[in-house]
Amino acid sequence: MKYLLSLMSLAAAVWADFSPLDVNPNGIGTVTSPLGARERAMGNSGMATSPQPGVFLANPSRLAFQEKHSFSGTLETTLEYLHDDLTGNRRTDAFLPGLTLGFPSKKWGSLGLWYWQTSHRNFTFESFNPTTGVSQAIRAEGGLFELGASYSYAILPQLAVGLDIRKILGQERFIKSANVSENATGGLALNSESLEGDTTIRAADGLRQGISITFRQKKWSAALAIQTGTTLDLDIQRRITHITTDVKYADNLYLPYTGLLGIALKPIPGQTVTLDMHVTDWDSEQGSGLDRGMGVGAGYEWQGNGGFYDAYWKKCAFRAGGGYESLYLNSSWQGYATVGLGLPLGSRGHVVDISLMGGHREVGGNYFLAEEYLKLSVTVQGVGVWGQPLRRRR
Amino acid sequence: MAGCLLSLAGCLSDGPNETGKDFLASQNVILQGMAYEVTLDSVPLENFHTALEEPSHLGDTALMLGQWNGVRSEVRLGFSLTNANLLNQLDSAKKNDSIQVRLSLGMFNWGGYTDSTPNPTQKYLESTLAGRDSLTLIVTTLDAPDSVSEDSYQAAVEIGEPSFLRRKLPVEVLKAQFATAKRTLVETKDTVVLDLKNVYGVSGRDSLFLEKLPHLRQRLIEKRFVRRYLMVRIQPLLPPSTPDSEGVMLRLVGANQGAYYMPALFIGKNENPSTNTSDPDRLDTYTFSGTTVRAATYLAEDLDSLEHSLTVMPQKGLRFQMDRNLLVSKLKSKGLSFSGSGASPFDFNYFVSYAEIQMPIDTAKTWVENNYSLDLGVVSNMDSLADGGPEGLTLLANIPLDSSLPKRSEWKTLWILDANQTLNGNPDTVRFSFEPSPDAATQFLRFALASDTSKDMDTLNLQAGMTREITINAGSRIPLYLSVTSHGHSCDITYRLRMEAKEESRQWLNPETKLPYTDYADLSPRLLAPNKTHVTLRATTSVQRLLNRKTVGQDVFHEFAVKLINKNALQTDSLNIPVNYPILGRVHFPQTNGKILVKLHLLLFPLQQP
Repeated sequence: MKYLLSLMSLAAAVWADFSPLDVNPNGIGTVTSPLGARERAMGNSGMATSPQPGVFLANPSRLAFQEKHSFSGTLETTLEYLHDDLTGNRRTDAFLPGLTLGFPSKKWGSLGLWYWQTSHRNFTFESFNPTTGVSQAIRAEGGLFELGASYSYAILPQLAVGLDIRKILGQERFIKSANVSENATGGLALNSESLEGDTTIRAADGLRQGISITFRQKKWSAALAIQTGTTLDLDIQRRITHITTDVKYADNLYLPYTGLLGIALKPIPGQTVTLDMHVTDWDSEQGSGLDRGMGVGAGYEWQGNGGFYDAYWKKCAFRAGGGYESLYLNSSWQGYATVGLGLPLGSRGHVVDISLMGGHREVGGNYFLAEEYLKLSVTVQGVGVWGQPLRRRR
Repeated sequence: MAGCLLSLAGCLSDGPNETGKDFLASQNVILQGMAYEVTLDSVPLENFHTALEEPSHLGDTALMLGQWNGVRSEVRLGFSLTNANLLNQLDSAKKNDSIQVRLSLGMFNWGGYTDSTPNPTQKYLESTLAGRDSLTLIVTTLDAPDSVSEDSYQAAVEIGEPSFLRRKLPVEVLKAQFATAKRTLVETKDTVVLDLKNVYGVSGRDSLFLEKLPHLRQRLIEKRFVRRYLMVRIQPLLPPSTPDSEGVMLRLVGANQGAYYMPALFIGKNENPSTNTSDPDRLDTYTFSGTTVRAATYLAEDLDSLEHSLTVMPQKGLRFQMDRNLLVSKLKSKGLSFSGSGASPFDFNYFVSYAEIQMPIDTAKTWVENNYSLDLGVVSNMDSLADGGPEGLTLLANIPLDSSLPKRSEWKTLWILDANQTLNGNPDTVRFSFEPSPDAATQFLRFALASDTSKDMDTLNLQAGMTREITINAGSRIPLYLSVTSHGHSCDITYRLRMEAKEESRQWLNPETKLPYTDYADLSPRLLAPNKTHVTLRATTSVQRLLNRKTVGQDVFHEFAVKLINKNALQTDSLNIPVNYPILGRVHFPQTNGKILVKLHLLLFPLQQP
């Protein structure tokens, strides 16, 4: 399991994303969007749509309407400008939040498998005191990782139900260090030993379930998904320079339920309007400074239906959207606008979705901290027809 | 693509600055300010005492022998005679009394000075002879009794090391074990007289003594083995009441490999006086390589130890403990906030980045030979077992010796508690098994480390009432010391955890150059010089371990020691010249209401709260 977590951590080699959530030891860090680049381009909405193959973590029931096996991988990178009243700082991050595999079967139902990083921490803050010559740093690393499986079945041509189970593993480190060997100007600090790392390591382990429903009509569709709350077991260790402890203590972290609701309208063929909402029921009893997180996003998609001999752009999809979220850390929120493209790769259904999100996040109150960011997401979607009857292959 | 994006990300990043500092402070997740510098006056030391320093010294290169200034020192040597021809010649010499067994003692060689321009050190050493012309010594030799086979005797020496050669044990224990040894080993005593007239005065080179050991010679003739192991104890024949003006303290060469003047047993015959009139007593040795010093050490004993309990001599140190809770309460009184209970390993909120101890010195009761300066340092033992005395870091277990026991019965998991001292950081298990001999008079105790699968179990044969000490080595691991006492059908095994003392860094950096001081004169805080009222010693690791300790599953016994580092004394008139032979001294730390009060100077970093 440790190796698995290590591999996950490597896969999620990120720089800082949003510092207030990353460094706050309560909560779970910065939540990673469970959506692919298509939905991100529509203002983080579109859970009720089902035109594309692929496992959809926010709504696994959607897979029941698919016919092709699928593979998808998402990559995202963010350029952030973090600032407060006095200083500003640019950062970037880049990581691979997840991979999915979908195995639809109309007769037996559809199976979805995925790995997804559901939240991450990666933040570094350094300060230097010229008076004492001591530089100090604080880092937060790691995140929560999810290994999930879903089963979905279309009990009616218009109605699909999905059940999922998610194994949640977490590895987080909060590190403080102080270097007194380089810049110390004299006195005791000059001869001191550096605090190489005051590290708290928190390993999480838990299981949560989910249920999702998608109702589909020609002109509209709707979806509802709920992921249950769960209590994660925490194993907390402590390390200080050259001194390690045994397991310090075990603790629990309650991960509240998440509810998602989505509506999609198709007033005109090839055009879709979406509206999604979600709520995660954090409250201050789970940690100081925490509050219920909510979000709403809306988007529009124009999906080209060009034939083989049409121009390439007529086969592409064009998307735009926007949204607002009240984050689970008290007084923090973000608003964003998105645009995106869906680029088909050949005629078999492979596609690359690209989204560009521009947003603003901030923490209000007495400690104003804000950031502007540009997030580029790319999802590669591959489909396969193996195992299907020959007549269905194209 | 990921690589390209990461590269792009790297190009765009302009590194962190202090954006969001206020927010972080509001979250209580940043180091709260910088380090705290705290001075604690009058911190009492707990359970202080002087004790012989660890580890054992089986390979001392310099030895002390004699009695002087209230200190009495004897030398202990281990020899092996492995040359069968040599012993055969000695046997045949029953008819030739000119063949002798002689003891050689080499005086310490300090360099190339001449009588006309003597080294001040040489002149000082001559003064410790107190004008005596000779010194009478008692040479006690122990070898195997007739009933002990060659193999078992070899095992006693090689596996266990002669216990009386260990300096790590208190004097009382050593004496008791010496007495025990006499029950099982044959003792031979000779008296020799050393000629002291020219020992330090022969043009910069040391003198060599050859003294006859007629009783040992007779013993070797009577009981001749192919291999023979001898333990030799050399004591000055001076009454304890001998005044300093009549005492003598010699510095001898110890087990210095390759040194010509190292202690040795010679077997040879006198040269014909008629042909060597200039040196008629010269020994014509049959062989030199037949005698090997396997171990050399000395044991200095403070004759006034009860009266002057806080004495530091070359092989002693001041050991003490500090009350952790008291330390914390004093830090609290300085305004530092602590939370949690003392039971948790990390309930304390500060990392000790620097600590120094200022030790008070009672100048009137402190003396060091020839006004040398002592180079003092602090070492700390950590994570030993809770209920031990100064040397008694022991764990006693009674193992029933019953043939019905499994062949390899597990005794007890021995935690080697410092991860830096273990093989791969893992604790180990010593396994024992018992096997009675056919005559039931002897029990064979077999033992091995569980992890050491490279060799078979070692065997120790025991008789009821017999105590044996064994040392278990495995690779680079710290040896385990076990003492086994047989009761016939059971045995007591005492486990001594030899703690690897952590020596404090004694480096002091120059604030301007950031480079370490190298001149002893700049290191004066840690030097004990004449008329100094205190010494200041770095104790960062020691105090750090005390406050920032790890949990070990059992109570923690933490011990500090202030002692001479590398046994170097320094010539007062030229502080950068260390004296490379042992010297005597007594350091008295003043007490207030039965406590030694020290000053602690600390630099503390606040730790995060998980």
